[in-house]
Amino acid sequence: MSYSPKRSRPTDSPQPLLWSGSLVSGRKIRSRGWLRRLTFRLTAAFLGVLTGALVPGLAFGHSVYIFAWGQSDQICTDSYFSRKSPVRGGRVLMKTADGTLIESATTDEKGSVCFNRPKAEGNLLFVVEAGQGHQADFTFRAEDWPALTDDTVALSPPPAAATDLATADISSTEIASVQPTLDINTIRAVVRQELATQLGPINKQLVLQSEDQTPGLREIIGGLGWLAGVFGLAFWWSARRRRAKTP
Amino acid sequence: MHISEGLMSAPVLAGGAALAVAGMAVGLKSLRSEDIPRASILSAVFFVASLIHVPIGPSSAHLVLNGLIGTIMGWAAFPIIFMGLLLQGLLFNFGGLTTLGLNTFNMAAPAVLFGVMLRPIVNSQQPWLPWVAGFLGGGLPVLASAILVAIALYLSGEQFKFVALQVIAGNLPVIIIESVVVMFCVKFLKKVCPEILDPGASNALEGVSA
Repeated sequence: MSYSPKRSRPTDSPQPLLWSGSLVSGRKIRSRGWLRRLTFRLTAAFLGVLTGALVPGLAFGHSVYIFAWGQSDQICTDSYFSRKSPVRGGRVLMKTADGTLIESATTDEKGSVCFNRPKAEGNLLFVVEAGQGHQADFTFRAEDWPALTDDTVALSPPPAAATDLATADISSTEIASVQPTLDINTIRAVVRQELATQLGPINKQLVLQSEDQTPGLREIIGGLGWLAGVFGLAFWWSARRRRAKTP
Repeated sequence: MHISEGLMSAPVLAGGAALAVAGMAVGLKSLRSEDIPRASILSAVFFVASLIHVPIGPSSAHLVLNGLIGTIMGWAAFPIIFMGLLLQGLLFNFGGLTTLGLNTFNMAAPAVLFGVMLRPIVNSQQPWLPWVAGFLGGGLPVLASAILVAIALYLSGEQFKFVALQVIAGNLPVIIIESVVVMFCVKFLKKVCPEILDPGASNALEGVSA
């Protein structure tokens, strides 16, 4: 920054800028310059603070995502903009693989909504309409249903004899006599169903992690690099044209 | 503000793309070599601004800053916003390649319109008029872009009233924030580097080639 010619009082030794306005007063032009510098500093400070305040927000994108996972007799979906920002009140459509609408519902506060397991076989397509032109889809593959086809049979009410034994006062000797009646398939089915319930949320987390495409630092720096490259290209092109014009 | 892929009908996409190409042609023609550095920096600003996210209501809105670009660059807003959108689409999954033309038009056209209209006020010697111009030049283009998005959605078949309200309400905080930001930016630039806003230094606003 240099002294403007407006400043009338000649100074032999250059004064620090801060002094000339605020400490040496008396002239209107000086006090105005001081005011001007103050507004300048305030503006600069505002822009600086704004940049600082907004940078932590950089982690959030605004693309929309949807994910679906099957439970025993229903299928649930989660829709979100970023991990911390679910789609509230968005419309989720459940469609067959060829696009026929089966059912639609509205997401709750957490961005989730569940449907009853449809009768249709094959893959399911879930589409979330989050408003403002935001839309995303997710294909749920038929083989991702928890394997329950034979479990339902196995878990149907046990034979009357077994119920009686279970409710009766069981001593250790009686348990020994019960065990043979629990066949291996029943145990397998129970374990399988229990595992499916336990692993459901973990599976969901895994998919969320692999699907979360919130832009990171890498994408940001990469994009800025591209812009720098395009800038160089444009500048080179314009310089070439200019050189071609001058004889 | 970015319209995703697969929502729009083909005629709307084609119309948006045609308008964007026309705007790009004028914008590129108006861009002199001296303007290229500013254009690139503003393109980078636009590219990053979309990550600054304002959590509000059911949806999420982010800064657009098309007003800033229009105020500074006029017609060159078209190529600037196009480059930013292209990279956002490729790297962030914002918008998409098929909606690129439509999105470019929706964001750049209001930027150019208000940038050119408010230019005399920005350069006025009155002490307070540039504040007003910056404020209006920051917020109005965002509002106009939201309206254009709503119209595009309507033309493609979504229910207009609901979506229009949603888009505009969702962007209200952004409109306010950007009005204030651009107001301070204009004042700051006038103070530090007035030639950036000087019409004599940039004929990009008239849309004529040098």
